[in-house]
Amino acid sequence: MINKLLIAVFVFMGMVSCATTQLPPVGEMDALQLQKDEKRIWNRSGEEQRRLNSSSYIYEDPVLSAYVNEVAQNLIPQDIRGKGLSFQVRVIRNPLLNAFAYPNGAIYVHTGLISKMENEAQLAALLGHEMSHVTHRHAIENYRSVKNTTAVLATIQMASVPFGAYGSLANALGTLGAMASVTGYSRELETEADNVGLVLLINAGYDPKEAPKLFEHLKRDVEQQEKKEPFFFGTHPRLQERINNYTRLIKTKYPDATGMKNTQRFTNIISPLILDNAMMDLSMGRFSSAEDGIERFLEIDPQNSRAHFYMGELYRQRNDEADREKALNEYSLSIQYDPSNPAPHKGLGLIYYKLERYREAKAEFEKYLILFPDADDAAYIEQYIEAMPTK
Amino acid sequence: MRLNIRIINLILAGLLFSACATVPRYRAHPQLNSKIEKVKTITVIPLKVDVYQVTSGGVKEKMDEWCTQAKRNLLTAIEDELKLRPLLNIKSFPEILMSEDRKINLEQTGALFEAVNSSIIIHTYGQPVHRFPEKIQSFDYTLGPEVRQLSGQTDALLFVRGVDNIATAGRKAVQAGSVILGALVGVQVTPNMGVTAVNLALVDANTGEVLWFNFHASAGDHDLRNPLDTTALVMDILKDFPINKPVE
Amino acid sequence: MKIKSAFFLLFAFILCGCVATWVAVGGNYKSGSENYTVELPEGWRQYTPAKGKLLITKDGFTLQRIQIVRAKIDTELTHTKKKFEKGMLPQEAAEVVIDNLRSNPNILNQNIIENKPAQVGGHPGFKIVYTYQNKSGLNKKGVFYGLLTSDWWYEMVYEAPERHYFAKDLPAFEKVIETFRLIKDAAA
Repeated sequence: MINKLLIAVFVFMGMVSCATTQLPPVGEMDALQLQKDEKRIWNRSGEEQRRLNSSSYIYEDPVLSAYVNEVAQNLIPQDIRGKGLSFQVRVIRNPLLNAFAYPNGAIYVHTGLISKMENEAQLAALLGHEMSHVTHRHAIENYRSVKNTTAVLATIQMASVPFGAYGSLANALGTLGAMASVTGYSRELETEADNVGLVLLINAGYDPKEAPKLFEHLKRDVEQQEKKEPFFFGTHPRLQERINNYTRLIKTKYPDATGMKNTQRFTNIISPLILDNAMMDLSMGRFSSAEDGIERFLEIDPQNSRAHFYMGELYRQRNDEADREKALNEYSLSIQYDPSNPAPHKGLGLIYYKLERYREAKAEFEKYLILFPDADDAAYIEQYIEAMPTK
Repeated sequence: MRLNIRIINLILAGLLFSACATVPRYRAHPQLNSKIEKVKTITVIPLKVDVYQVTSGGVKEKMDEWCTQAKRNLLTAIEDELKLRPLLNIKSFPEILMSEDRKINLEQTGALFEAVNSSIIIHTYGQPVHRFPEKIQSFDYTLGPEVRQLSGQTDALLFVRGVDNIATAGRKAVQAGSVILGALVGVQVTPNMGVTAVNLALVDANTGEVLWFNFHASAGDHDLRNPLDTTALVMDILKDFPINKPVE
Repeated sequence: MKIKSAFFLLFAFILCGCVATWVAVGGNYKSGSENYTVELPEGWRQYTPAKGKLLITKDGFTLQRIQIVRAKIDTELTHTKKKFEKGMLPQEAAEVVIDNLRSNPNILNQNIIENKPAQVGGHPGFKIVYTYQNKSGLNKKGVFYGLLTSDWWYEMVYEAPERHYFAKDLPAFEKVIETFRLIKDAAA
């Protein structure tokens, strides 16, 4: 029954969204003048953002923050400047691959999505896409069409979010944020954002061939997590369709276009995020994503003690066949690269303890407590030491 | 929380039955009489009033201008009604120039009040299966003495919550009770139609105890955007207010 | 008159849904199916529709709740793909609980205040104290006691608004923990 209803609504929404954009984009206006209902959703946006911005969801890194906003500023087309619309990009602490924009120019990008990007051009492609949703006023268009559908879907309750249990922010966001981040926009509006975003990308001097790679990352994540396509409720173009759309567009309209990627600068700035995001993946039990993230970080900084420790933690917690040996190896590398790091000693101690190699376990636990006497988990460690046989 | 929503839904239809109950509509602290004697000053905590337009699709859209209007009407009506009580001083909460700490304190107090409010509604007004008789007989809800930090020089705090759903033309109120409690406890229950709900709690500014609680709910009879409607509604809620008007 | 009264009572009974939704608890409580006994605080109520768990409150769930759950050791958790495993140390099990809490998208500002070993029913378990903010902006605090046996995991959780309510009913919860016992051996 629910499936039939959903299909009916998707068909309806498809029909509604077949119409071309009815509101003029901001670029075609002399100055930004909001319609009454548009003002209201801007107010709602402000309320939702206030809560989000002061929460633990925001990934605090001043260097990264300045950087992503600089990239966004460079994308703003001339016909938007000075019309009363500004953009602010914030990074959200969440390993899922997502990004969304509020109608007032506030853009949020998940750490998960940034960690998968390879260069600044891909970041610019994403920001250009989100900015296009804003400049072309997709939120109010979408809101208007949603208002007139049945209440069951229009209330946008998150019970049926495809991967709701694994990190959708939808329940923490309000209706507008959820609409932008989870349900997204119609196929037509997303295609318009893809196309307009591509123009922004090219005009700012980036290589347009990097744009479809965003969706290739998404596609790989979907396959890796063995889930249905994320957060689009089926009204979005499928990922492969969008990759094909970009590829066709570039081939037909911009076959000779080249541009910058700024890979090195991008990598230098986002590398701490890659490791932090991998830990979020590990918390969620997304072992293969976490492993990819740590490996990517180690390609950048192969002698990073913390990264090797995290890899050890991943293997210890995943506990697949041969993982114990791998964990022991990673903890040892962590110690090799920073002997003052207490954490890998604990890791070693836990593995030896479970293998009943008590002499080695005791040695590692004691080293841990010497290096970190105020450890929060000291009580556990002391208990292990006490419980072990003395010989 | 799915549990809360299920409880609210269970309570909903039963609200109309509660009109037949012999339990008075307001709730009062067991030692109200002795505690209320000390109340000479009441500070009205910033009102939380939301007014929505309910579209033909059943979608609620919060209307900012209507919210401002409704808030103003409610505050005026409440102040006017309470000022008729001699020797009772009514103060507004000083929102301007609040320090950051005070703002956070106010937010947390408000958030805790929402939680207490939900519990009062569900377990002392809701469908009989969800009522806790001991909480009705010994109405001992509290926000805790921590409210003292917010109180300043006042004897009691007045919390007011209001919600109004204005149905667009063609959208009629059906099963009004099913939305009322949902609206009061901030749980969206669809379908939404022309429902007005206001509740009011008098809280001891020193101990945080809820001294007196009442609510009004109606389907289509009142419109908080209308000053006269709002005044009538407030007079109804406050008719059993424990600090009495002088007898004429 | 008697027939009319009986009819009225029957009608009212049907209307009320037959089974008591809230049942007063207090004193000894035994769950043979869940393999534990415990002493519950007086004046609290159990929400009976909650299947597979004991869920009690005094003032309403928005103001405090105690829950006791037993689940198969490989039961999926809500917010993390990690699972408990046979032979896990209490510290490792606590890690999984903390990750589940941290991955919960419905709450904000999760913070672990305490994580240490604890005796649960006379068996080695763990205790976690945490805070978070719910979607309504209310700061809440919780205590989670956990125990893994060979096939099952047990959790005893107390949550309440951090302001006033958490401290008020914590002693009641601590008494629950003190009195919790497994009926059959933990190795069973």
